[in-house]
Amino acid sequence: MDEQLIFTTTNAGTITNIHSGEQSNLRQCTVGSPNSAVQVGHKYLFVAQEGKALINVYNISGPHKRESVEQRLPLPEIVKCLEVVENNNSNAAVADFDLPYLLLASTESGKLYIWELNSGILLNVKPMAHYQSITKIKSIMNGKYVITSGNDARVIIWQTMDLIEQDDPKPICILHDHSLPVTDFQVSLTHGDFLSNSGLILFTASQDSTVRCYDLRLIATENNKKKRRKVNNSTDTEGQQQQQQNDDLSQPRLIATFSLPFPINSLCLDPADRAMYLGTNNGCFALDLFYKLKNNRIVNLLQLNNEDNKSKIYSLVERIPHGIPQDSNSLYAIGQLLCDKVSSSHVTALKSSMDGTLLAIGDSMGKISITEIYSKQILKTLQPLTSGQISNGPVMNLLIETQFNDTKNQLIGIISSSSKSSSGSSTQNSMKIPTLQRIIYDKEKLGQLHDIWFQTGEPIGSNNMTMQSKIITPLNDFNGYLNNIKSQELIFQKQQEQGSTEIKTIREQTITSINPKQDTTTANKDKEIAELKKNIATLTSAYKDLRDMHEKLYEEHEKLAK
Amino acid sequence: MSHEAYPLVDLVKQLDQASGYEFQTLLKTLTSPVYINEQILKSELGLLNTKILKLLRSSDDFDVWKGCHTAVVICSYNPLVLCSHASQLLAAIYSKLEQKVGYYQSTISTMQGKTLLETLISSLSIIMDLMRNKPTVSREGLVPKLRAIIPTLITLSQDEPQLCLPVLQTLLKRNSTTFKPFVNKYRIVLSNLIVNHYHSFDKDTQTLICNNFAYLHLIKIQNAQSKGTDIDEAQSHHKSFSDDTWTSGLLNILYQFKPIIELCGELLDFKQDQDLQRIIESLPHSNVKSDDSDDDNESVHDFLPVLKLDMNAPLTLWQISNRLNLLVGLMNSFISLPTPFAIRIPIGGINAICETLLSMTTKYIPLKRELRRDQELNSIIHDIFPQIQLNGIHLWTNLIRSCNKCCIPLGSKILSNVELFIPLKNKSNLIDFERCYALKNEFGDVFKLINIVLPLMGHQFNEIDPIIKLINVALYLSEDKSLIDSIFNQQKELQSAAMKNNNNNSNNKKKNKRDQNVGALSDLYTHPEEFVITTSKEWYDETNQFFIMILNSLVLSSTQQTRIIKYSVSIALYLKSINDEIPRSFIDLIRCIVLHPGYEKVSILPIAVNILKDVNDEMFDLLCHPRLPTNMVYRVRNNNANVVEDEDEDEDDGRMIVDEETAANEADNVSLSLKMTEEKEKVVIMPHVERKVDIIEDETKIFKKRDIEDVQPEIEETTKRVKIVKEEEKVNNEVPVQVIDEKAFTSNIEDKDNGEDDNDDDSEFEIPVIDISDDEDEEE
Repeated sequence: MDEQLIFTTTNAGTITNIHSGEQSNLRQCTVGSPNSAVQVGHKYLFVAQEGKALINVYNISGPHKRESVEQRLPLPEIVKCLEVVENNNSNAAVADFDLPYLLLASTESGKLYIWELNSGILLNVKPMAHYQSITKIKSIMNGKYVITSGNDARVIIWQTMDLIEQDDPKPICILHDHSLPVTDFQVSLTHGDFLSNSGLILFTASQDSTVRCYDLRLIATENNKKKRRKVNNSTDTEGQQQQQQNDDLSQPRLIATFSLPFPINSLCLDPADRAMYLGTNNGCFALDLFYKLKNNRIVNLLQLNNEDNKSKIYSLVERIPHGIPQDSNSLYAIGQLLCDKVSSSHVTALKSSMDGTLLAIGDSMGKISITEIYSKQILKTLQPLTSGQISNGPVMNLLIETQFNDTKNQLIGIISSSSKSSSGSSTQNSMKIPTLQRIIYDKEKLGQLHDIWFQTGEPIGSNNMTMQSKIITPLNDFNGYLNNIKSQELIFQKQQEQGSTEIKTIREQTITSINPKQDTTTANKDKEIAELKKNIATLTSAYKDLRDMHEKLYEEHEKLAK
Repeated sequence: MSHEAYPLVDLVKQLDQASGYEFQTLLKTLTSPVYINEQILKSELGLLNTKILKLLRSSDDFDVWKGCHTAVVICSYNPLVLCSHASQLLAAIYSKLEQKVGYYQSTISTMQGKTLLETLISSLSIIMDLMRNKPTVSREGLVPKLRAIIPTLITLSQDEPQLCLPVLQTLLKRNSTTFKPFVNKYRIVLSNLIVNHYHSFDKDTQTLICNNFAYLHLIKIQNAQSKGTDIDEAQSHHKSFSDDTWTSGLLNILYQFKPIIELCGELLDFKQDQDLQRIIESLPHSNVKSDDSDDDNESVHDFLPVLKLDMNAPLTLWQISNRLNLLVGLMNSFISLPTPFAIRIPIGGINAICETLLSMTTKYIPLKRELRRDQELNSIIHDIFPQIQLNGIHLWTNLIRSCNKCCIPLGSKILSNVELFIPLKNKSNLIDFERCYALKNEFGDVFKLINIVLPLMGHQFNEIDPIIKLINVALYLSEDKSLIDSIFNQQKELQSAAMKNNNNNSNNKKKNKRDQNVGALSDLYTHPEEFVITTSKEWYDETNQFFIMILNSLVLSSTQQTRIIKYSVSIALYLKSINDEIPRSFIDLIRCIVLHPGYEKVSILPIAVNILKDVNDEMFDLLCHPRLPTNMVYRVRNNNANVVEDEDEDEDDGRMIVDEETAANEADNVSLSLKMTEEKEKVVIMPHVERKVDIIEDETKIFKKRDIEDVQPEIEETTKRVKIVKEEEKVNNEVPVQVIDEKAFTSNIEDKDNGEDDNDDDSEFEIPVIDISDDEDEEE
């Protein structure tokens, strides 16, 4: 198991691992804006190219990852940010040809393109989704919603369904609390089936030096829907309606605002929302969201005050490690929180590792420092493998993915079947990603087949055996197989018993049929009976004699005894 | 290790006579890894092999049966045997199978023969699976044998589709090239099965047949390819896709739908609905038909016979729904089977077909004028339309199951079309629940579809009406239904009729007659509870899933919410009383209701906890006893040794904070909760102040309770607040505003805090305050 780390600077792309030393370079990779690279499944990496209307597709899967561009997807325009909405099918294994459902891309002017990857169809274009360039697109909650943030200081939440279905999609809500461009946002990772809309928290970071957290309340009311329809019908009154909706149950609610002395470039959360890491020009700061006060008290910063439901504003103060001890309680009382400085570099990208102990910090020099959060020590520095150039530009994209590699078998020299099949398919299966179209698909036109390229994976549990056919194989279930044998054998045994009785009856019949003259047999029988009767007669007479003898002798014996 | 093993020689000797438990033990012994030993390969394993071969070749069925199982077990567990002898064993099994198939009639005349046939096929399949994917073994052993095995299996599949089709399916998929010469023969066999016997097979076999038929299209048909180039020469320079044959097969099935839907035009007056007419017109249809090459094409693909419908024999109309059923089955195979390459799925076309299938209802389109008179015909037509619609629902379900998110654009269409399936009363907007009941099984499928559509969509739907209607239907159908309700109703009518005008003898006569002919009906009256259809667990699971999803994304109106609460609580209790266990889906539903109370003012948490007290549900445990305090500040560690010291410090701190920011509400809250915890600790130390203990614990409980409610979605809170404000307005002059209560409360606590050794009087004084706040919570 290892964590794959992909990062791009303005002129280089690198794939490497956090824990091992392997590193490879993506060729012809130039990146113009943050969040312009997206990993697609386990297999592909899409990178939007700087200054070109082009997406480079790299194959990053398995042991045979290739450095060269696998495929180039031409686009109608130069795009800045990319995001995919995954199409995860839970009841089948991953097929060789497995594409996400949607590709979202944004342009300099705040336009949002939506392609269906399986067919290449351009499903929708939302012009002026933001009034300025979009800085990040992210699909959340299993792809049900899409969140975009922009230089226009707004964060917008869209419903994926609306983006696809409606010609001019309206967002679910717009957050405009920030006053300068929103640079980054994160959504807490956890949401359950039942708590699906109560624990979801959105963090937004902006150049206005604040981080805001919202409780996303993604639940609808019937009234709300009607209102929304009205809004859709009459766009003029949108502002007013929006005002009304502010008090609505289904609107996100601001929980807290954290302000820093510096503009914030990037934001990252502990996987379990225990801490928040902020990247600024002046370093990287860590803030525990369960904030420790003196005397073992803890404040949950992500909770609204029960009394007034008002959001709070905190300002973050750097903890001075060896200086005068700062009194956290008194600082808290005046709304100040102490935060640790993890690194002092000019941070442009941040990601935390799987276990939340390491932080990958990308800086303006194109370096990634893997830093241990607790000790603030840099464990490792990663740099692109480029020759000649001194600066690679700032780190634009930083992706971390936990991977399973079968180290146990690798030692013996056996490649695990999954990696084998995927690597084999990359050469064998020449199926390309369909070209992205330039014309918006007309949903209204009747009689369109709307073909999508699709491959269904093997149903889970088939395991190359005939599970579908319900034949129990000894390898899968030996006891089941033995059971089967028992029941089958019973049939044989029964048959044998029945068979034997049949044979007996047949024999008797044959015997009778063999002796044709029944009269003779009866005559024989008569003879026998006569003989037997004779015997009985002789025996009874003999017995009588004996009996008489015995009685006489007994009488004599009694006399003698007297 | 090896000397501990049971010697193979003995084992082989015993194999001859073994039966019953002995035989099973021998098989178990063979699974031992001890025998995977190259040293004994030539000698002992060879011996075993010869023995198995002898068994397989014997004429005694039981011996052959034993041979099969031994071969399967040894091949599964012993790679050495698999590599060296599997092909021999396979050949032996196959030749036996061929014999049996040759004398099929006599074979199946006994149970013994049938079982043996089954064993032969399953062993054949298992050994073939084992040999596959191992290059040398499969090249040398398997593939040459397949040329003989496949035709035999195809022959047998005519009579025993259940046995053979699974094996053939894997062969088609895994060894498509070897299968190639037999494709046409197999196609004929399958077509025959589909045309003549499809509806007499069980569901599994039907799927098998469809799957096999679809897999036939993995093999390229030369014919179609050459024709393809003829038609579009302009496109001939394009690379042909690997899925060409598959797509043509799929489209062929797709094209079959349109004519059948058009047939419905004979029943419904499509002219009333121009839109529908246009949609039907635009449904995918074959272009080839107009061409001359029609005949050629037909010979390959159009194996389905023409439907023979006769309005004078209304039962023939059922063929429509039967045919649709077949087509949906085939379609399902084409879109959901795993294939070695990516295929094109025309989701747009399929969706259009589903939509039109669902519009086949008399709800919005009237029947044709000339048909309206015929009673018999009408009743059949009314029964058929739901079945036709149901096919659309099945097709959608399958499409979404296989393509998942790609169907997001269809979501709202599906919802609004499903509404068409809900039967309405004549000329009104009310749901006809009686007819719903007749369609209960069908509604089960509808909810299955809804349950896979909803997770794809967000929480803001375009239309809520269909969902509300579905909730009503689900709630209605979840009630147990007595079969004899109608009888009682009739009886009443009869009685009343008799009372009114009938004193004739004929009535008595009738009764007598009935008694003679039919069994006694007394059971109906004495044990009516025995004639109740109980709702199945699967039904509950589906509907509960549906409710959970709705509650998660929508705040329902109060009536709906209450009905769902009532349903969940009552049925859960009922099931608990019967089975002593609440099904998982009910636990989930109750959880969901607690977490999403909607506009309800009273939480059902106590009810839920009460019902689920035996279930040990962690979530309710957490709700009732929050581990992470829900208030702003809380303690982490409670070290007993330092308690006293800490306490003093705590107090100081607490006071300090209080002093500094009594003005700020937030801080107030902080200090308040701090004190709460302090109080609690003190209680632990000085248990002799009993009176105090009780009350303070009460307080904390109240606080906790309040906190619990706050954890729930904040809906309640806001409504509460609104309420309070309203009350304020109302009672403005009379009572000191109720909102203040809490603050008053806090000051009370502070008072108490300052005077630590206060008497009990203090706490007595507090009681009414607590009560008020408590009432507030519950009444609002």
